[in-house]
Amino acid sequence: MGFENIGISRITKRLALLCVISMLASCTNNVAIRGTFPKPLVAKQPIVLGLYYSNEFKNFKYIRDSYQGTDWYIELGYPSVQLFDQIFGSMFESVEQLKSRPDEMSPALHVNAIAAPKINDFAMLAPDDSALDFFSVSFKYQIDFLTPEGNLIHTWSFVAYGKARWHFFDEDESVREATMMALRDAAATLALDYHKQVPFIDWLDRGSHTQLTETVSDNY
Amino acid sequence: MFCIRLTLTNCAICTMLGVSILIQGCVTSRIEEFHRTSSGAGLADGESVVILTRRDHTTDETEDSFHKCLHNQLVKGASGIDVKREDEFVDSMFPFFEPRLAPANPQALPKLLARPGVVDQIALIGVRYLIWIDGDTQTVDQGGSMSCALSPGGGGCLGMNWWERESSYEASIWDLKTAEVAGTISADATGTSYMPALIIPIPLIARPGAAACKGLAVQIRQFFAPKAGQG
Repeated sequence: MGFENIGISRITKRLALLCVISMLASCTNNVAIRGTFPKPLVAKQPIVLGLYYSNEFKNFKYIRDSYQGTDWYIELGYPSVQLFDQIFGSMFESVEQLKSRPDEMSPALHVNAIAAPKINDFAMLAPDDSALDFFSVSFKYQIDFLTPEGNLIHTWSFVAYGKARWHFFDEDESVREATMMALRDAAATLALDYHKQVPFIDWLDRGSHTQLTETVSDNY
Repeated sequence: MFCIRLTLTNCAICTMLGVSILIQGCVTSRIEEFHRTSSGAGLADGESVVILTRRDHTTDETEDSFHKCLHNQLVKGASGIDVKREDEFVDSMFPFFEPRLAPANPQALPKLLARPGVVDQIALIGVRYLIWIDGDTQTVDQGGSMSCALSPGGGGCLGMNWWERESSYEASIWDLKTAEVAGTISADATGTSYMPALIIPIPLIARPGAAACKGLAVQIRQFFAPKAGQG
């Protein structure tokens, strides 16, 4: 009987320790966002576009430490790269990722122009904050359009929103849904508001890209 | 002896659950339907519909469960309608049916249809009608009280709770061929649920949402049913 008491006591202590560890581990939510974007119903632009993603953009994360409530760690760089790759890939004749930002010394002459996106801000409103039953997120994106030599032509800033119902037993899924909705909203803005970026389109129309194309052809 | 007592307890619980499942069919639900048709509607061979719900960032959304219920009610049976999935339709028409960009009213349809590639894509998908669903189910009143206690010797509850839920939904049917509203159908249902407790709470749940869904589906089926004299 004495041995049985010691065994039950040890099991109880271990179970209690396991429960405490589980509770502590569940206070931080690590969320990975994965998804694809549909091809937009817009006309393709006859442009070869270079895409430059800085390390800051590729590794962008949202980290939220709450004094009370859930902590959040959301990786946003990877899905943002997917967003621009897929949407610009559908909008332009050809896109190419550049390994480094071009400049006068090392221009990217094989492309007509370059887009360098940035994430200026990401915000999330949780049910804990708003007493509502949904999560909402917003991205503040900025795209710098550059010449092949890296000179700034035009900057385009926009905000994208997403909202999703709060799933009581799966908050990660709620955040994932809200973030994907915001990314799709960003994709929609890219597809439909591109034609409003007049300084960049005027620069392209002035024939600068045609001259560059001819220059590239001559080099070959 | 303990095993016999456990078996008897399980039997009692199962019996009460079975009774509550049978009784819930007797809970009061009321359906009101309003059907206004501005022109005849029918689905030709190869034509389909899609059920859409508003998902913009400001309004309350219709429940996914209602959307799923309506979809299942419309497709089932020999006289089922060809209903495309909402997510496939929205992806095919990207980005024109994203929450922020979806046409808010039928007056916006001509502008959407004038965009290059949209009409061709709609013809490719085969969707003729959009069915926009608005509305939700809410608790409008509640009352009663219940106390529960648990002790090493046993436990149980005593009292009664009740709550009244109201479901109000509207289906607006847009014809993509004429770029007009083909019809509007509304369904309202109310139901009061009870939970008396004598040791064990017995849920008697009214489901006005399900009743509204079935009522709306019946009306939508009739709306698209072939008219007399038509092929």
